This record gives sequence, C-alpha cells and structure tokens, in this order.
Amino acid sequence: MENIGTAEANSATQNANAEKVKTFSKAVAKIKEEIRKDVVGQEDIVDNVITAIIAGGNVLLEGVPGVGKTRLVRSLGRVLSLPFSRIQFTPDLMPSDVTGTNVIEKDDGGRMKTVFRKGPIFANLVLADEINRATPKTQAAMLEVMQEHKVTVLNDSYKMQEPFFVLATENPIEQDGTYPLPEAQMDRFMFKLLMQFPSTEELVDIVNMTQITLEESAEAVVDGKTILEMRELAKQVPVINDVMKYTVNLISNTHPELEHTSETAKKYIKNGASPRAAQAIVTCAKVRALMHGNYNVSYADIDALACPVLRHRIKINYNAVNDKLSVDDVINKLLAENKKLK
Amino acid sequence: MGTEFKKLKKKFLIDAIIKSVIIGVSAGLFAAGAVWLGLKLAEADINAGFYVLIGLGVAAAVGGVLFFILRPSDTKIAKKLDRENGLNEKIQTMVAFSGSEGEMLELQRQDASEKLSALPKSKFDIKKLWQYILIPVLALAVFITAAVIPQKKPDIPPDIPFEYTERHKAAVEQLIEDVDKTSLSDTDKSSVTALLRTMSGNLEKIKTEREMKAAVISAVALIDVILYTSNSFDNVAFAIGGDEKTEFLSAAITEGVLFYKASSVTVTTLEQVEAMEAGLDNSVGEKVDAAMDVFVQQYEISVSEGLEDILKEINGLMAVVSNDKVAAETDGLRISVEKFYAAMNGIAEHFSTYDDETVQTAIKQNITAYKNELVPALVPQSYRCIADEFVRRRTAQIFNINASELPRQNSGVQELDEKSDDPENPDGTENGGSGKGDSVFGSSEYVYDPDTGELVPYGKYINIYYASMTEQLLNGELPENLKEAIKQYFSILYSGTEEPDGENKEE
Repeated sequence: MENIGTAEANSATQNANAEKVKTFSKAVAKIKEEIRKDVVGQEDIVDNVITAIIAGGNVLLEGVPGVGKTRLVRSLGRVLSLPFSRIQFTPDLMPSDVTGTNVIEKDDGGRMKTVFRKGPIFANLVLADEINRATPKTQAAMLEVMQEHKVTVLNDSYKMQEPFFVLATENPIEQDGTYPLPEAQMDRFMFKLLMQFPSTEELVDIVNMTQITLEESAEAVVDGKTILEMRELAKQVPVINDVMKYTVNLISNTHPELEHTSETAKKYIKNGASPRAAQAIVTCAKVRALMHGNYNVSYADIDALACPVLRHRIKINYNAVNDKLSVDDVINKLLAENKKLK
Repeated sequence: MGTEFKKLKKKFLIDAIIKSVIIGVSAGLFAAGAVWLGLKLAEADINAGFYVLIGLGVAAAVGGVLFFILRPSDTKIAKKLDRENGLNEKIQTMVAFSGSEGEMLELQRQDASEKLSALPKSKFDIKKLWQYILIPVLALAVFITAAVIPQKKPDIPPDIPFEYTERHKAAVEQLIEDVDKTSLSDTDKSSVTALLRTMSGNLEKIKTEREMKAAVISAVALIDVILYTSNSFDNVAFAIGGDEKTEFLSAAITEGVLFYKASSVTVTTLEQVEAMEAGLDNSVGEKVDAAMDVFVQQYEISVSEGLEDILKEINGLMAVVSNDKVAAETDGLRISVEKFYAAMNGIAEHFSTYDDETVQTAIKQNITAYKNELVPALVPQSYRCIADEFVRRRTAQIFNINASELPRQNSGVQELDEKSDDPENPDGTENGGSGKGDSVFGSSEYVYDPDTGELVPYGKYINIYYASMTEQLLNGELPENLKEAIKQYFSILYSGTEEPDGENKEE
C-alpha cells in the first residue's frame, strides 16, 4: 500500500512538473505583458533581463539617462513580487554604504550592543545605477555580493535572499570622473545590454503614458519561489553535442592567440572571452528555449545570445576601430564564420 | 524513437537505395560505353563480356560507395529534417537523447514527434528530380554512341592476288631436285623435300599474296627447325661452355657452324652450295683453330702455378657432354669432345709423375688430336646450315620475298648478322627470329582468316599453315627425335600465339 502511495505521489509530482514546464512560456508571457504596462518598447531588453533573472545571472545595462532603466527594474520587482532597491553610485560612496555596517545601539535593557544594519544591497532586485562612478573598492564590494550572493562584514556572513539579481548601469556619455570596470569584474555580468533611445512612436507612447501617471501599474504574476522553480526546470533542458560544440567553438574563436582560431579573431580581437561566457550562453539558452515554448536548445538560441554574452567580454583591437567595426559587428562576423559547424 | 521517425527513416533508406542504383547503373553504363568507344576509336577490340564486366564492376563499386555515403543514420536523418523544416534541432535532440529518461526529455520527445506528424506527407522536389533523369540519360547516350559507332578497321592495303603459276611450280620442283643432290643425309633430304612438296600443294589453293607468304614462311620455318634440330653443336657448346674457362672451347664449336647460318651466307644455287662445301674443311678448321688458340693459353702455366688445378677444373666442365640429353651417343661431336676429355683426364690422373715439359707436350698433342676430330664432326653440321640457307634464299627468290622475313633459329646468329654485309639485311638484325608466332614474322603483315575471311595479323593464324604441313610431316617417315623436336617447336610456337581452333591444335 505504501509503495503504491509513493508511486502515486511520484507520478503526481511528475505530472505537476510537466505542467510547470508546459506553462513556463505562458508565465514568461504574462510577465512581459505586465511589464509592457510600464515600459514602452525595449522588447529585447525585457526578454534578456527576464532570461538573466531566471538563469541566475546579473545584467549590465548601458544607456543614456531617461530611457527607463530604473522603471524597468521597479516594474520587474512588482511583477515578480520581489523587494527592489536602487543604489545610486557616486565617487564618495563607501562599500559599507552598499553592504551595510555594524552600528552600536542601546538595547531595551540600556546595554550597548552591535547591530548589523543591512545596506541597500539586501533586496532581491537591485539597481546599481552608474556603477562606474564608484571607486574600485566600492565596485569590488558590490561585485563580491553579485558573485557570492552574500555579504561579509567583520567575519559575519549574511546570505542574500534568492532569487538575487543585480542590474547595473553604465552611463556612456559621462566618461570623466568614472572608474571603468576591469575585465575580470565585467566577466561576472551575464549580459551586457544596450538600451537604445526609443523610437518616435515609442516616445509618443511614453509621453502619453506618463502624462496620466508616473506610477508603475504592473501587477504581480509570479513570485520568487516560482522564479527559482523555473530556474531549476531550465537546467533540465537538453543540449545536443553539436550545439555544445558550436557554442564552445564560438568562444574559442574569440581568442586570437589560439592556433586554429578564426580569421576574425586574428584580425579584430585583442582579448577573447573566458569560459564563463560559454557557461553563460548555454545556461541562458536553456531558459530562452523554454521561454519560446521549446524543450531543447537550438543554434538559434545560441546565436541570439551571442551579442549580449560576449560584447563586454571581448576586447577589439585597433584594426576593428580603423575599419569602423563595433564589438557587435565583430561578434556577427564570428557567428558567420562559425556557421559552417551547423 | 517515434513511429513517425521510423517511417521517415524507411523513406530515406529507400531514397538512398534508389539514388545509389540510378547513379551506379549510370556510372556502369558510362564506363562500359567510354571504354568501348575508346577501344573502337583506337582500332582495338576486346571480348564483349569484358564490357559487361566493366559495366557491372563500375556500377557495383559506384553504387556501393554512394550507398555507403548516402545511407541514412538516425543522426543524418534528424539533421536533414531539422534543416529542411526549420525545426530548431528538435529531431536531433530527440534522437540524441532517445535512450535517456526525464520529464523534460519526455516532453521534448513528444514535442518533436508532434512536429514530425505535422510535416507534409511527401515533398516532391522537381528541381532535384532532373539530376536523376539527366545522369542516366547522359550515360545511356555514351553507351549507345559506343554501340552504334562502327569499329574502325586497320588501314590495311589491299591484298594482291596471287597465282601459283607453272613457273613457280617448276622452280619449286627444281629446288626439290637440288636438295636431293646436296650432301645432306637421306633423312634430312626426305624431310626437307616433303615439306617443300606440302608447301607446293598448299600454294595451289592460295589466291593472295599474303596467304602465299604465310605458307612459304611456315614451310621455311619448319625446314629450319628440322635441320637445326639435326645438329648437336648448340647443345654440346651450351653444355660445356658455362664457365669462362671453357668459353673458347665452346666457341670453337659454335663459330665453326653458326657462320653458315648468318645472312652473309648468300647461297642460292646448288653450285654455290657445292663451292662452299669444297672449302668447308679449311674454313671450319680456321675458325676452330682461332678459338682453340685462345683456349690453350690457359694451360700455359707451370705446375707450381696451378696447372693441375686448371686441368682438373676444365676436365670437370667437359665431363657433362656425356649425356644423351646433350647429344646421342653416336654423335660425332660428342665423341670428339669425349675423346679429348678422356685424353686430358689421362694427364690429370698421372700428373704427379710428369714434369712441366712433359705435361705441356702431352696437352698440346691432345689439343691437336682434338682439333683433328672436331673439324670433321663440325663439317656436316656446318653443311646443314649452308643447305638451310640455300633453301631459305632460293625460296625467297622464287616467291619474291625479302629473305630477312624468313625465319631461322637464333642461337647467336643475331650477333653474327650484326657484322654482316648482306645488302638484303644491312642492319644485320632482321633475321626473323623463331619460337614465337608473331616474332617469327617480325612484321605487321596480315593474312586472311580462312574461317571468316577477315584480315588478321600473321601471329594469330600462322599455326593454320604450320598445322597442315606438320600433319603431313609427322605422318610421314621421320626419325622419332625429329618428330619430337617438331612437337617441341610447336609447343614454343603456341606459347607465343593464340591457339588454333579444332584440328590445328598441337598434338
């Protein structure tokens, strides 16, 4: 009897999981629908941000002021029912301003005690605005949290609540007084996304929308637990060897120093991407596949994620600058060379 | 793997088989046709079965290799389906993980199967179909072209009619009479005249120059075999001449005879034969002396310098002559060599009792005695060669054939001929040769195949003419060793030509 009961329970669990897989893309569609109530356009950005959240990565967003970066993260917080915080980075921001610090307080009995006051980092969704304005020390503190998902203050560790997601921004136009992120720390961002200035139609919609209200109107459709479940589900998506080889070859071909590398790398790349790039692409490709209602990773998934994953991980050389090629142009050339493996 | 995938796999397999068969058969047709066409244009021909073999072989090889390449594996099929239908690697994933378990994999398999089921049932690609029509058509075109193009015949000059006139007949009769008057042995005479009569009989039925030549050449070749086989000089010289120490002992035998087989011997009348016969003793003697003078130098050393060893070594080399396979026991040449050997052996056996001077004297005496025995033994053999040359040249004269086209047994004659002043053979190398049918004639002459009336090279049909004469010869009265020699000759001849059909086969 016990065995039958266990078997039935297992079967029920399997059916529930199968349902969750089937409804994965529906859940994502709902998230996007809600976000669209607050964020006009930027479809690719929204897709990639959702992908990164589900995959468990962080995003570096580059865009001019006023294109909706903060609004996007705030809206996401509402839709995902996750606490949100915003940190504006300035040159005088200290690491403790980000992570929190110990303060001395009087307890109820009048005795002095040390209490850890959590910093703004203690949220599920964090917007790190203009991260490149902070000093390297403060950046390092931020990046440690992004990597480890914990804060360590005076030998005490405080774990972040999952899902933990950081969306950092860089302002491209204010280069004076900034501290560019080093490559090793750039590598910790799963994606780098370029937020473009909205089109005329989109701008009209933005203005019309914000004339009515500046408040976000998106409603919660999922919660953090659901995101974590979706993350676990995504890990199960199969990847065939050919697609894996295709991905690995793409990353290897970014290294000009390798013997059998691509012509593009030899000509246009100074430094190639690290193995984290391959991990990031495959992880996100699995999520993307499910988001599109597929149950396997395809070449199309890899191609779609190549630019977001690689643009901040490879350094182009003077030849590319001379030929007026952007990083994305070089990545597209790499994709074209890699096509023969399909 | 799903039912749909299995159905598609079967379809791909059939497709691969059909393509392999079509291309394979086309390749086979093309190869057979190309070879056939090439051979026709090159005026060559092979048995039709070879074209079939070539075609089948190429068809099997090309078809097999192509099927090996095209044969559908699950992975190949999956890739093709994904690529042609934009399925984003769904089918490949299904195939790759077909043995694995998991909820996600199960969902993936279901999704892939649904997509397969939704595929259109058959896609008839007319663009690709044309390849599978055009290729066989081209191949067939090559084959048909090869079949219809007529075989290019060699550019053979027209044959000249021939009539065996009374003049010819009389000339042959005269030759027969002259042969009877020569100093050949009775056996040799009867063999030669029999052959000449047979030749004459054959010539009465012949209508063209080419046939006439074939008949004459085959008669002369047989006469040459018979007379040559009657001589033992070649076997004896070969037996004892294997070492540099006996080289000149052997040369003393051959040079005295072969001279008379050379093209420089231009006897065409009985008078000329008789004139040569008269001076034969001296002539042969001179040649024997010249070679023996060199041979004897080996003995001109002292006892202490190793004379005994040289003596014994040379004796050992001479001893081989006492063998019936080399020459008959009663053969004069064998007897003379045996006597010389015995005498020299006598010196060797009592060597220790002689001093230098005595030994040298005894050796010289033996050599003189040997020369006195050798020359008379060689004279009849040389005479046979003269008679042979006489018959060759007279026959060539009667029928207006170039003497160099008439064959003779080689055996060193070529070297002598190279030194000849014969105007008919200025290069001294066209001696016709022997042993192999096509080299007997050494030319590209043609004869008519009596069965088909087509022109074919001499080498192919000379045996027809040989056969008719041989039959009569072998049925006639000839010594057994001569019959045996003729049979051996034909066995060598047939090894160089195609075997005749039916009655012309060697007995």
